[in-house]
Amino acid sequence: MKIKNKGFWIAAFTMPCMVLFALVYAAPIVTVLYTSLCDYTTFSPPAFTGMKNFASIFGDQDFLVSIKNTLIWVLLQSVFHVTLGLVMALVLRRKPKGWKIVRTAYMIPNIIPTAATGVMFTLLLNPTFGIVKPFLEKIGIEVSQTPNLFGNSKYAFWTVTATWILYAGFNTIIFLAEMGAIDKEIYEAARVDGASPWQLDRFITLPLMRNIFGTCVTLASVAMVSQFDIIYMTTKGGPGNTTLNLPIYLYKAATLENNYGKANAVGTVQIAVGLALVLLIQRLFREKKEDAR
Amino acid sequence: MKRLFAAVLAGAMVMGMAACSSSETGEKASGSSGSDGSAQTEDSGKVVLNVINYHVGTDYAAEYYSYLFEEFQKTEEGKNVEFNFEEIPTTDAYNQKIKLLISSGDLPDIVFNGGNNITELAAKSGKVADLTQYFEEDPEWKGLFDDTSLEFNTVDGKIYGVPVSKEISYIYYNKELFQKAGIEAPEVAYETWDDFFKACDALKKEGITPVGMDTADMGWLTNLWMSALIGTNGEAGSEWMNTMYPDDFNTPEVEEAAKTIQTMFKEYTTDDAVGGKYDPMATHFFNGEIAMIPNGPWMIPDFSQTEKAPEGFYDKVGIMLMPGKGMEMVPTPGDMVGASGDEEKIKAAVAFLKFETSPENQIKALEMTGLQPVSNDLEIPGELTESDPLMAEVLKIQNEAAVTYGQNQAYWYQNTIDTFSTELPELAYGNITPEEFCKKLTESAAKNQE
Repeated sequence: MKIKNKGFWIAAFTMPCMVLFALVYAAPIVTVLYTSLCDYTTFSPPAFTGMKNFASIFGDQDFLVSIKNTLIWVLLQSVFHVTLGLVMALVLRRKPKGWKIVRTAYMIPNIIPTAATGVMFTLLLNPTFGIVKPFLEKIGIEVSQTPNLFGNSKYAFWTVTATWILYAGFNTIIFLAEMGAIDKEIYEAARVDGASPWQLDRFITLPLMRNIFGTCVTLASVAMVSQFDIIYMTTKGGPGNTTLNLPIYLYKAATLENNYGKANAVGTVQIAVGLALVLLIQRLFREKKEDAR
Repeated sequence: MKRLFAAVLAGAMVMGMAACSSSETGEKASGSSGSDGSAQTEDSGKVVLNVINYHVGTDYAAEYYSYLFEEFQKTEEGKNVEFNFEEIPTTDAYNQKIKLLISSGDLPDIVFNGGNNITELAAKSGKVADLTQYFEEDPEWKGLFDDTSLEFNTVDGKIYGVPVSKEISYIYYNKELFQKAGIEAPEVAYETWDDFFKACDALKKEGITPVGMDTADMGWLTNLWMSALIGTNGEAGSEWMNTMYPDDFNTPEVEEAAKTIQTMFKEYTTDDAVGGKYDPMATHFFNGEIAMIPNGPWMIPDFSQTEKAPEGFYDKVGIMLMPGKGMEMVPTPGDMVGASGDEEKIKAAVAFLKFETSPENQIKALEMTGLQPVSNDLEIPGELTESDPLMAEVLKIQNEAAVTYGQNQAYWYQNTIDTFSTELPELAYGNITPEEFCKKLTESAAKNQE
């Protein structure tokens, strides 16, 4: 069906969201952008100082580490986490025995508050009374000291990563919904032509998942740019700066140094990183879409 | 057009999500007050005081403060006062809220001090009342406080805080474990740190973990050990540990203390000390899994609470000062009065603080919460020796202290305390040297001068 004035209708339907965004977010964002250029602490109202805050943060090794960690987590989340969600969806779509239980169980980590997940992991991995010591003993590994997975910087980054990277239930549900929308006749036609289940996935399902894959990658990346609670609950960015990311760095600048100008400079960088990622991912998947034509 | 529209939508999405964390700052800049700063004298003639109270629920002083508010309203000064409470459980949440209100909002009429030293922050914001004249008008009340306690609550020559207690800490030890290791605890303190570590070796030889330490949540226990190591290291150490907002941590005394702390993590504490919080360490002590833990008198009530410690644990606990007869002793940051501009409310709030710090209520606080009286020459009731011998011992042993010093949560910059907590694991595992550890603290303190 041909719709007249399509652009008008798109604008009309998205307008409430855009107005809401402008009201709720635009003003704080403008404040963040402006005060990032100011000397602004608990003691002093904002006073314009130019790029001083940016020079300060980019000269701080901890800030550079927090950017590096944020980007590594974005990459891991976009690639590994989303792919895991897709693989789970492909498996569950075949409805193997017990698939409903698995689907439900796989969603459980997504409905547990992240603060509770953080506490749970710190207790589970406690070197004295957690599961690490008995596990190592069970598999016959003798160590003089039980590895302190959150406490030792050798393991902390990957331990914190493990608290969320495997739980891709949200992505699985999105992929399953998209797979359910694929016309069954396409599969039937392919089966008639003698396609194997692997070939059905390889040549029909996966190509049709490209758009939703892009959406999942965008959501996963942006979520990682603002990941805060579980890191705060488990390591607070430590040991040292091993698990420091942009939101934790921002939080510390605001609440421990009482330096709101500096914190807002970090916020500005965070917004810029997030925007750049979204545009990059959009471009990446648009090109792929064009390739497919 | 389509591309532009998509880009705007994408921008909206990322800003929405990124602003989730950046709003922390925005909130600080524009958050509203939880209390009404306007005059609230009711038609009935009662003065309504807004109070944000964190002494609620399971807080160690919840019962005591409930008693205080109730009893105050029975006094001549308090009979026309009503309280409008906002309850916030946990000191962390409370401190965040107060800092938010200092930054952008109105403070309540009575501003409890939640442990963090926010006196200067509050005073400089102009949102708390100058109490100097109230002290001058009532010499008897002023006489309850020593100069150190008042100086600690003075900013630019004006008194803003009313100190309600003194903070002291020392070592609790498990008599049974000492006996098992065949060592006798000193009556007051080990003469030197060497003697202390000899005792630790003896305990270790018997398979007993000597000391409790931690790193998370500001590393309270390790902070007490570290403060003691610095504070008892000669005159220079004592002076450094009594300095407000130190900014040079690369001094011989601090580096030496960091080195000893590194050894203590490696040799004398539990596996979960690194990354661990205070609570599990306290549980180790209650369960007889560690022999010594540093802490203050507020821990004493826990020894006889069967939901925390085994039956009869109270009798197994002994007290000693830090080696060299050292004891952490700091005046507490005091409670303050919001500068509401309403004289009636300020007077009523001051009257409450006078009631809170009356000699009778200081004793009541000691009995109910373990908080040490801020006044030096209070008469301690004789029955305390019978009802709470450990508390009586605390009162006795503190007079034996040869050296007193502060501790980091009272004297250091907040971000430096955080750096201490996050860098301790690196020090413990030898990923950084004691000198590097101290350098990181120095760098962290320097950020406050930016």
